[in-house]
Amino acid sequence: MEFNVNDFLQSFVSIVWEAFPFVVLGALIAGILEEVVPQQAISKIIPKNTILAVGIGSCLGLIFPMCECGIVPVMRRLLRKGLPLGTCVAYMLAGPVINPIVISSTWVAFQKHGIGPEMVGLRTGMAFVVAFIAASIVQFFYNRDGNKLLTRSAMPQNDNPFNLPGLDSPQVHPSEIRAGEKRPLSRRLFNISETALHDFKDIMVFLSLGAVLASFAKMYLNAKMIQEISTGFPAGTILGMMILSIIMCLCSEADAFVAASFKTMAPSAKLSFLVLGPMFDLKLLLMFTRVFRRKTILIIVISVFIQVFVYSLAVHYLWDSLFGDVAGTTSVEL
Amino acid sequence: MAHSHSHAGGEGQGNYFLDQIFTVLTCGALGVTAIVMVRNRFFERTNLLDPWFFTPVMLGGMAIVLLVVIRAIAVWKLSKVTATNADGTAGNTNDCGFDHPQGFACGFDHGGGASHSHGGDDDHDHEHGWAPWRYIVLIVPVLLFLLNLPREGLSETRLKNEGAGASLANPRRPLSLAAGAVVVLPKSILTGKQEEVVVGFRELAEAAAKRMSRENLEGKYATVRGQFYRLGDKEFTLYRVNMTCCAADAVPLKVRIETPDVIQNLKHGTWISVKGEVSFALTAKGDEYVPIITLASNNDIQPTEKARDVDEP
Repeated sequence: MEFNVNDFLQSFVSIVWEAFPFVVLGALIAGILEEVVPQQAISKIIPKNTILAVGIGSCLGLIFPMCECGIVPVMRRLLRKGLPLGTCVAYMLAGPVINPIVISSTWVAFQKHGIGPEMVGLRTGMAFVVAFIAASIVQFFYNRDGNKLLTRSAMPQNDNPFNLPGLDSPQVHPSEIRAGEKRPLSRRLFNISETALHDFKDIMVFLSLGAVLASFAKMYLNAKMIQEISTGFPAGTILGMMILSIIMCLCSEADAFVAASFKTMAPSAKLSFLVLGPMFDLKLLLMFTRVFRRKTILIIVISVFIQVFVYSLAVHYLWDSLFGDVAGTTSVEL
Repeated sequence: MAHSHSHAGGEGQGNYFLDQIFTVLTCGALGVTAIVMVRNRFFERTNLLDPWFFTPVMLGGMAIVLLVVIRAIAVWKLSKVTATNADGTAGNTNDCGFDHPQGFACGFDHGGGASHSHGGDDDHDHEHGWAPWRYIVLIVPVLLFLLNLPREGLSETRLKNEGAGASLANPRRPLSLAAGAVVVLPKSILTGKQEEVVVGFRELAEAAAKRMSRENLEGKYATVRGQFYRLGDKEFTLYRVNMTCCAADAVPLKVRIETPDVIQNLKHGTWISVKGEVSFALTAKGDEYVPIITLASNNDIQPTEKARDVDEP
């Protein structure tokens, strides 16, 4: 297959600029969180019960809707403020799916195919279960291994390695406890701009590298291949669509329209595409490296991937008995 | 792998300022580029983003520019304070890896060039130093815009990969003879008049997958517009890009056009409108139908305006 530079650039540039406003929004919220929310304030309002805390994290997107690009910097700052890792991971995985904007877009995209409520229910339900279980596994490892699972910039502030033993110094670096202090507005703005630009730069760099990877991979994809994937065995189709969602790096607010356009594909395969894509793709993989160490990323990716595959396969075999035959899933009529 | 290093005074501080200056410059460039791209209708021209994103990109650019201005003032103030303190307190203003707020006098005793060890994995995050490669990555979208890249439209390679110009079954089998088809003669044959139909590009391209739609449109005359992709002397594909969100999810919708005479003076990607008789033909592989418009004359090809999206007639 021939490689065309302009096609590659179109894909790269469009992914970067499409995600740009959401990264800015995420960085801005991260800056405000860092400056305004007092240290450990969040941990006081999160329940001590791990299951409840992870469950709340899975539904946080309903109150704080963010897409997957913007959620990474916000989640990193929340971690530093003391939000439990399990809650953060649950929010990071489920937030881009379980939020009002994505629920509406999924409804609209599938309504004309007659499966709007089914797809919304299955997408949000599956996202909740996948995020909840994956986050619980991560929390289990965190309880065992502690901050070794996180990068330095994501560690909770009290556990930062710069609290050097043996030095006659405060427990927390002074620049880290500026939130909650009384300060002039100009100083607060300086601090917000500092954190926001730091996070924006950090995430945009890795978003761009992810976009390069995705654009390279996309050069070897075409509609014909997608159609061939869609007419294979159920397990193969679901697996194919999961890989496609990792490569395509679509925004969770728009992916439902793309999935709905795969007219010859079973809903279970579309579902796997819609649940996995917002949780993990090539650009997110590189963005995760700014928060998690390799081991944590592996735990998240493996637990999410296996769950999405198994649940989608279950949906495939249960679909007819649950919902009957539906429009929009027929093959090309010859 | 644990390792140790020192946070030395002067060099670390120099790197800190270098890092801040480059942050301001590259982020500022990205912000300004975002604003200019929307204002100059770059995204519209190149069809890279759905119009829904224009306002968010513009607002994002404005927000970044505002943050950059605030940060630039802070760094400028910080440099003045540092210069004032340079004679007496330089030893305490090490670059400890934290982004210090303005004032830089953090009051935290870093041990004046002391070494310390970071335990942990060998892949551990390390952001103390000056990493120019990050700014090179960040500036790429700005450079591409300055070079007016990427260009508009799908390449011939992409269209070929997407199946434009696929071989058709030979000889063609009229729909009326296809198995199970209801034999309905077009009105044009019965009345001797052209029966015109108003059909959208998407509707026509997607009609190929449904037997009922094919039978409804077969033999009628339609006018559609799209972009030109040459297949042969008397054959080309008219295509429109179906984009949901951005160019990364764009796929071409295609209609094949057949002309009586050799097509001349049409470049790849030119917007044209055509009027002719609709038919559908099975591909040689037998896996799908292709919509075809057969023109009575090459004069039925007319230059036209670019359509905003795939659903605009």
